[in-house]
Amino acid sequence: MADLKDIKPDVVVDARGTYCPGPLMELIKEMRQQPVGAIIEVISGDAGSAKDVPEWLKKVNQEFLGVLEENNYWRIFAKKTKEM
Amino acid sequence: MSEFKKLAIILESEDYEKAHVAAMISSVAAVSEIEVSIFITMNAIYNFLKVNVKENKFTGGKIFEKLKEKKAQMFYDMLDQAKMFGGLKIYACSMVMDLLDLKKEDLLDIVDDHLGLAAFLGIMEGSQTITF
Repeated sequence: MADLKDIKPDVVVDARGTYCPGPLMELIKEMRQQPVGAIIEVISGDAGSAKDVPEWLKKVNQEFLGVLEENNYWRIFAKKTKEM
Repeated sequence: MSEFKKLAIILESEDYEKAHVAAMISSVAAVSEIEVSIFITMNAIYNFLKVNVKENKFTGGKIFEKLKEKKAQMFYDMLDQAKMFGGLKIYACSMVMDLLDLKKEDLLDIVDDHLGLAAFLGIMEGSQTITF
């Protein structure tokens, strides 16, 4: 798999300022609108979401590409692999 | 986590925090392929009255104050969003509605219906249940 830093997401959702489960819900909102194959990056200021979002992706069989921890925020990468 | 596909939440308390955590759990469950039913009964009904929501009239403690201060999403908006994304149904207790002379129009539009306990017990069958 390519380095996460080199991933070019199709769309970036900045969910900083929302509280759990806000970032997850923002991802879902975006994922529903994007076509299959789209890569979505969610920026979260909430540490829990960096663990929560991968768990949800696994549960609903969408792809988790990885997470990058920055200074006080997290960049979470997901790929839509099937319609939802 | 053990596998369950149905979750029933009985919301009885008027405390804002309890409505908030119920909404958080319901939202995540509803978008995780779990069928969620919420039964609003006793004092919890006050948090679902249009008149109270309009005036932002809730009973809460320290976390409620923080949620307001940080402008977190309100529980009813969370539930509304969850209903768009997944299987979530909200029912009001018909006994409490009778007691307070309430009509369906007095409740937030996110409330699907009002039910008696026999009906809700039928819906709850086979569910994991949480009470707030």
